[in-house]
Amino acid sequence: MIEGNIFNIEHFAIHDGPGIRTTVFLKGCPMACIWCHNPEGLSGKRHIVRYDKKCIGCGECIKGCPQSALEISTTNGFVLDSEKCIACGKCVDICCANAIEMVGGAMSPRQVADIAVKDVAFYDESGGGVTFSGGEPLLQWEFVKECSTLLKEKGIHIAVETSGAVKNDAIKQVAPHVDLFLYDLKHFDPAEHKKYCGMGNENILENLQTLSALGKEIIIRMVVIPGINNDQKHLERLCGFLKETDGIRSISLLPLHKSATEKYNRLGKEFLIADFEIPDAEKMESVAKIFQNKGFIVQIGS
Amino acid sequence: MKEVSDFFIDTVDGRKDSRGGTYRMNMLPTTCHMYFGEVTGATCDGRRAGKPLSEGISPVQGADLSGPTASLKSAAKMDHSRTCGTLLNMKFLPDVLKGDIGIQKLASLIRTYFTYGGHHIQFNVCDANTLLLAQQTPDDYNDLIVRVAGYSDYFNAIGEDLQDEIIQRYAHEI
Repeated sequence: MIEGNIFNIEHFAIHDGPGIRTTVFLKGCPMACIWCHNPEGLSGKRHIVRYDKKCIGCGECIKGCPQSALEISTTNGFVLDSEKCIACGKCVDICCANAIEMVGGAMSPRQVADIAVKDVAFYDESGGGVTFSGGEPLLQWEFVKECSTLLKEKGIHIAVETSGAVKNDAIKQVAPHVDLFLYDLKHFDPAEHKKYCGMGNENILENLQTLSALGKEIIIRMVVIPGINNDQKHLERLCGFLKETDGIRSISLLPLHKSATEKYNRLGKEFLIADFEIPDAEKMESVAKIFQNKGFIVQIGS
Repeated sequence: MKEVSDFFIDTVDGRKDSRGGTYRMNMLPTTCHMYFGEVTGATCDGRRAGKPLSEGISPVQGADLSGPTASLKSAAKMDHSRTCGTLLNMKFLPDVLKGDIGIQKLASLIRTYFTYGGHHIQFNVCDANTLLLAQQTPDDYNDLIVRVAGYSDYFNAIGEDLQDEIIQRYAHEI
């Protein structure tokens, strides 16, 4: 029986596709975008995160850790040696202040479907459904397919939010089970893409064309990052490519935000974009204009 | 929910009061949940003595962990037609439900609640003061959803810096 590695299920998700939705976050991503706002979804392994503000410094987790991976810190509650930690979860059970959480856990398609089906009346009323996001959900495309098959029995609309950075075969296999693709594009230039996301974009653009050829409905999503991907020439080239791609319903532009700062702290990772500029309404409008001038429907920040 | 509410209605409904009237069940506390809370000792759900009870059939403060859809479904389990009215309160920040699409989604939420047999729902569109309180006593505000940027999240799940930033956004409302 196939199982999924899931790090969150969000009910009443209202920004991940049409209507009221439930979003299932699958763990693991092949990319390493420096602005990632779900860094807890990058690793495909489960791991613990700490909430320093909640820690009361009782030290029980340190005593209970079979790997001696935890140490008390004078400034930050406690520190975790991630080399030693085996994510057994003992400290999570021990902590009385809920300052340690496990990120990621195995679930069967049936378990996910049972949770998502609970809100079917809300989907029906609002034209919503279930969205698979992540991480990169299509790294676990077989799981997504199994879940979709169960959800389709109830007539539930399925969306997948993907970076497209997966094997072409995965895209082809999963496409018949998905109604709408929210397809994230970061940068059109392969070298720039590699610089900020850890890999080129050739495969991503090819997969987008595959979906288009299969007649799928697609919404392009792009995080607008001033100085990186809002240059007019770059955007016009991107528009040129998208014009050749059928099935693109609209472009959804999201302003860069830094809400993940605390998540990086919890993971003990460095947040590399702390100094980046957040695009204001004017900058977002100017990017939107470029797409609109080429005949695309554009939504900002949703 | 259903078992407890049915038991309560069966027990109370129709009994005579000392002035010749009849008791009916009404789950609209107006502000009674504050007063009743003041005179009620600590409860086993973790509520401290003297603190407010929940508002009508709204989840006990801090018990709403699975989001608005789950709260609505739970609240709709009792038989609303056997009461003289019920109240469910829900908190959002203005930005969560912004624009025509946001309003449509709110409308769908309400319609679905009524389809399930719900009677009355009120929305608390919060201001910065509420957020300041939520920062001080997060456990009382587990259900507070705020729009961050491009997505919404529980106020308690986001970092303090970002909480401060969101409070700033609403500072003009203080």
